[in-house]
Amino acid sequence: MGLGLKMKIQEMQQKHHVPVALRMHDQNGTQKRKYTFIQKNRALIPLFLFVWILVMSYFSWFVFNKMDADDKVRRKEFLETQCDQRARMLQDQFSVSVNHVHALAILVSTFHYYRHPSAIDQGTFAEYTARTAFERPLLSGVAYAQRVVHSERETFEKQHGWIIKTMEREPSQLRDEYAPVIFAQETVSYLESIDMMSGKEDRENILRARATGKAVLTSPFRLLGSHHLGVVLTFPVYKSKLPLNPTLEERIKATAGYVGGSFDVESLVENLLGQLAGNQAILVNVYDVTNSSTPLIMYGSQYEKGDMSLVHESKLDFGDPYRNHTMICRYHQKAPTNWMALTTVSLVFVILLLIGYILYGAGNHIVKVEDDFQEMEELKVRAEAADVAKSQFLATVSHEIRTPMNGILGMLGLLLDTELTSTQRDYAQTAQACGKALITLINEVLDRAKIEAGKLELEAVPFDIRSILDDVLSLFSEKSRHKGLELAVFVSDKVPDIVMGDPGRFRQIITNLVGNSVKFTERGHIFVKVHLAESTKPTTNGTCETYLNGVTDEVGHISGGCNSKTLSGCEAADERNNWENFKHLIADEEFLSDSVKKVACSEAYDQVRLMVCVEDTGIGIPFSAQDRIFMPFVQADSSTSRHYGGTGIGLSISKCLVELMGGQINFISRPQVGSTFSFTANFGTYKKNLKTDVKKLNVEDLPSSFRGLRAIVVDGKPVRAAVTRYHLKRLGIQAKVANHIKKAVSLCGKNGSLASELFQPDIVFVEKDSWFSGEDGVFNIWQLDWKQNGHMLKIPQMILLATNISNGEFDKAKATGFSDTVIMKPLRSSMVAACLQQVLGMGKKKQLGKDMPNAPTFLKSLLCGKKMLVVDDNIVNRRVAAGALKKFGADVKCAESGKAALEMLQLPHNFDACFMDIQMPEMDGFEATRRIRMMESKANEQEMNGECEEGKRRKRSEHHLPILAMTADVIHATYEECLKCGMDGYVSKPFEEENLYQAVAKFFNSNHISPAS
Amino acid sequence: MLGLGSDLLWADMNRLLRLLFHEGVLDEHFLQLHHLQDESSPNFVSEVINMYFHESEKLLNNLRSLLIHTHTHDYNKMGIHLNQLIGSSSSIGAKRLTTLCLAFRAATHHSNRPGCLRALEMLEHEYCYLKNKLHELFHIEQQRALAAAARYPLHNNNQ
Repeated sequence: MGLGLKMKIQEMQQKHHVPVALRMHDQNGTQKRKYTFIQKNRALIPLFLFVWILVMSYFSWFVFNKMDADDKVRRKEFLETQCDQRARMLQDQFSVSVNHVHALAILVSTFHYYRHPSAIDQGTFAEYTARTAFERPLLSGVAYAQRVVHSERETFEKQHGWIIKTMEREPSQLRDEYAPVIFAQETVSYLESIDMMSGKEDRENILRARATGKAVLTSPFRLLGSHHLGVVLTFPVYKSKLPLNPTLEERIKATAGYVGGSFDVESLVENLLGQLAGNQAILVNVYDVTNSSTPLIMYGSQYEKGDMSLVHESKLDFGDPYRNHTMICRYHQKAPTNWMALTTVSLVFVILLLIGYILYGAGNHIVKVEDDFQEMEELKVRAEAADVAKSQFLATVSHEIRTPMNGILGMLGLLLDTELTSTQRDYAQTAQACGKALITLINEVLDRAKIEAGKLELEAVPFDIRSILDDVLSLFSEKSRHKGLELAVFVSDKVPDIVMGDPGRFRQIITNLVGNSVKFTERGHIFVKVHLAESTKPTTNGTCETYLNGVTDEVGHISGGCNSKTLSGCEAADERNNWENFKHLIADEEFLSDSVKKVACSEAYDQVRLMVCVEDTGIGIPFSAQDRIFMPFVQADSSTSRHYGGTGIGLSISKCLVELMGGQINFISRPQVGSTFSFTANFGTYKKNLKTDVKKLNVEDLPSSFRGLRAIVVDGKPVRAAVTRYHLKRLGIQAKVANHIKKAVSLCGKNGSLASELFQPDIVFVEKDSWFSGEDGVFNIWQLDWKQNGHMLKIPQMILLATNISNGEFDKAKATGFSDTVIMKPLRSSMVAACLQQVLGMGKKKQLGKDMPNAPTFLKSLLCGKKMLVVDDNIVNRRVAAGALKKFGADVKCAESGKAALEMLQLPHNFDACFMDIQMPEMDGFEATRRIRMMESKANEQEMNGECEEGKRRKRSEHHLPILAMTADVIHATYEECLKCGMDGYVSKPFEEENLYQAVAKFFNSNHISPAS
Repeated sequence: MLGLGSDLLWADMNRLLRLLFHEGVLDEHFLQLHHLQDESSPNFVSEVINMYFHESEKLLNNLRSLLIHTHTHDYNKMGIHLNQLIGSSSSIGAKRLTTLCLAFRAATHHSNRPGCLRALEMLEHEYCYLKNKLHELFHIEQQRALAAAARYPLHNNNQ
């Protein structure tokens, strides 16, 4: 067996692992393709950062250079304009002075030579020049030197009274010519009598001036008076007017003297620059570049520091064509570092760097996130695979365990049939009970696995809630009676008789909840209440009130140990089911006659939302465990399982089921007081127009013979009385409640009252508690009354209601006048009906118990007389299948291959069904079925065509032979394939009654019974 | 005396059955087979079982010849034979034989000749075992039937 299990699992793994592994593989394959661009190039990200930095630093460097170059150009332009400006100014000033000296020369020639006697003497000259000195700001002084030829020297010396001296203030030596100063400005008065020809510079000057007739400049030299550098300007003065283009000789001859002035270039330039802005920044040098190889400096020091890199040269034209002058400007200081550009560029660089880094970080992050995502995907796939594997494993293992368990149970059943000693029987029974428990557990686990896999689908078939609840109650009646518990069910009248839903699952939930309650309750009651979810609303207010002011009351109840407001009088965790609220519910319903309401409810909505409460007075759930009570395999307390057994999976399944039904489950529980589980569920309302199905429902046929009877229920507990009334009402018995026997008596009326106004009961139901609490005497008096006064038409039957009753009590009750039958609780309508029939002597005993067929007898009824065809190539299988079907009364024919079956099924045939093996050589079951179906459809078509002519034949239904597959495989896919090729159902091989019953019932029931009925 | 014998034989049969169930040789389908036997087909079980042995013998011979005597191992054909064997074995509830057949079939799927040989050997051994045990069982049953037939009607009703 163990070997078999392992083999099967291996087989399963082989079958199921391969697709999973394949899928994983596929996933991997697609994952590689799914890599995003950035993920593929993750290695390039640092490279990108590096390249980015390089490019950006290059870019910054470029920008910096550009800015710097701009700056340099601006600087250069500035220098140029400054230099040119300076040069021009200097030149202008100079030429103004030169012009003035020219004017002076003309003055001298006019007034000294053309006038006789001369109008100018030293005094006049000095004064004039002094007063016009402002005109020649550049000249330190002017003087006039007369041309004296050697022959005239003596006369000249005599005339002036001084001898001609050289520059060195010594009497002049013998020369051809002399040029002694005769007039001098006061600033240069020291020049008087000095021969200008004696200085080399001056002599050259004089000669050149005489020759050109224009102003002539000396090269710079140290001036006599000051130590400044200077140049001397010389202008010739001619005696007579010159011809238009005089020759050199004519000029020399006409020369009378020379006017000269010394320019103090240094101070001159100094003054000039002083007037200009920005002279601090710019360094100016003036050179005489007549001899271009050795420029002579006129202004500025030779070894000026300054910024040697940037120099501008401007030409100076002082009016002497023989001499060339230039002005050279440069900046004092080197170009300052361009901080602006530098900061701008560095800022830009930093920003770009940051951007690059952000991009880099983002890239890395994206890669990381993508990687994580991929990993998660992979994990998800694996988790899903694991989940699938788990579910499959569970399903397989559960199935595999079920098979040997069936063997064990079967053998135990056999064992119990044999003659055993009581101890052995006890052992065997225990073993069987355990086995059954195990099977139940496995079914639950399977359920749970199914729900988790989302494979559980709820049916939507019409069913009667009330009868289901009665069924469940009957399941537990034995146990509850044994424990002495009150077990009761109450369904509000507003709840429709028949709703659409899944009765099996609904029953499962109720069974689970009630089962738990029964398990955990030792005294008190278990109360199942069903009403519409909406109708709780008006009563919730009441709940709040009782909660608010119920605090002190509760204490009272607990101390009193008795609370008459609940079913059994024991306190319950949830106040909603106590009488105060219950009253509202019932009172609500009293207003309308029930028929109107039910119609209103069921017609108005497509769905009803039911609220089901299961209340018990058990041990309750500890507060610490309340939040995990719905988790699978968790019980309130680990000790619980030791005391009470169970796995704790039931509640979690119930929760899932309730959620599938579109509701919620919750509970209120107080330890040592009890728990109340309540859940809501949505059910469809049942539309009346589907009449035909009603027969199929598991609706209990309650006998209608009690309609119109009247009853009094004597019960001190209003809730319990309401439950009794509910059951009676279902039987059509009108009931009134009296909380005490005396009240009942008063209800019935005393002597002499008017009968018409009074309630005349046919039956009186007395709760055992009420009977024993009341004095016996009352009953006797009452009965005596009854008998003596012949007012009543007949004496009401007295029936005792009890949870359990001892023989002594029973005898006593009989003696008091109660009928023989005691209705044992929990109450069920059918049971009450049966009891009443017994008591009232209505002979309709056989009506009940017929409705619930058990599988074998039902199968027998289904298959009896039916003609079956079994197709199987395996002779043993064929024989077994035929045997099995024969056992249920079917007429069986066999075919050993698909072909043989086809031949036998040639139309018309008289087979009612066909069992087809799938794995057959030559023609397998699928193929055979396909052919049969093809044949049938052809025949149908022909018939349809023929039908036009003979309309009556329409009655005959289309050819469709039910074909059931037989296979040893129980894989779902096979089933689907079966349906695909036209089979109607599926029976696992070898036959099992349950399985066969299910498959056969499905179509025989609908096809063959409904037309018959 | 005879009645006692019948009871003893009952116990023997039960013991044997229990053993077979315990060993996993048989499963509940074997019992179901017994359920199918009634007045209309009194020898149903033995008939089926004999049929089964007859068929299986042939299949096993075929398998052996396919596996040993031919050089071209036709695994497909073996698979078909095995399917047959599996079907009939599971029908009569020969659990262990079914399991072995499944293993054998797995081996043929993989064209695993040593595995096939081993499986065949085990299969044959198991087959012999089952055959012996079932013969024993039927033997007892026959005896029991004989014994029961000789019982007093009153006792028979109680049975």
